[in-house]
Amino acid sequence: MRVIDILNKIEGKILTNDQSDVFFEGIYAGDLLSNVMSHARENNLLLTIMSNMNTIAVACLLDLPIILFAEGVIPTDEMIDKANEEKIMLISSKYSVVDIIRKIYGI
Amino acid sequence: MQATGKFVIESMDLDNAGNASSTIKKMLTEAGVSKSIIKRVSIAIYEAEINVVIHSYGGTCTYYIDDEKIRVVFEDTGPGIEDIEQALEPGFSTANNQAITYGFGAGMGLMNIKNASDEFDITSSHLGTTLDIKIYFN
Repeated sequence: MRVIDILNKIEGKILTNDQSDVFFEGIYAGDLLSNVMSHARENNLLLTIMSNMNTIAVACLLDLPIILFAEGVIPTDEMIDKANEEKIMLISSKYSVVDIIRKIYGI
Repeated sequence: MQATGKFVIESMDLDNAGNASSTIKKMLTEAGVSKSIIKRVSIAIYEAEINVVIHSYGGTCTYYIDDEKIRVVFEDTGPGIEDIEQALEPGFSTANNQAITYGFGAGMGLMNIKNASDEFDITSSHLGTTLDIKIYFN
């Protein structure tokens, strides 16, 4: 899937520098980072409300290209800087995790 | 490839947890180690770093890399794990509220480390815990 295909549906805002079209393969949704560590797969989009430096670290370790924050969560500037450095795209959407999944998959 | 090094891990310094795993991940990526092995190494080291941060008074992470494997030893200064078998059970956790607020404390960490490792050895007393893991590249 491409970011450009989901951005309007979820009214998402890209928070990191790179505004180009990024690809991902499936979504992993979760807030407990040990579960993310053991279950998320490479190139998954990480959908979460957990916003701290560890969220970026986990995405970086697992090669997750995008973190999508639900419920209007906005990461700190420090997190955005780190994500820019690690080339991970951060997006924020006002919708809940369930609503985001519904909107992306049309269910 | 031959490399060794040591990281100091401070107690409750959650924002800097991940230094060891991200540094080692970059080294193994540059050395051409396969992605599936790097993922296992990353999971094991990151979870172990988090364990030292949220459960101990602080400690160190020492790594030894050669052509066939990586060995990583985590040593902390206490207070130790009361019952290691129980700590390995999925869902068992003694994490405090701050750790939970950061997204940890699911009770999956030690199990994730064991599953990601080829060799896993842990000893603990009130003076500290030593975790010694090995992951082979082939």
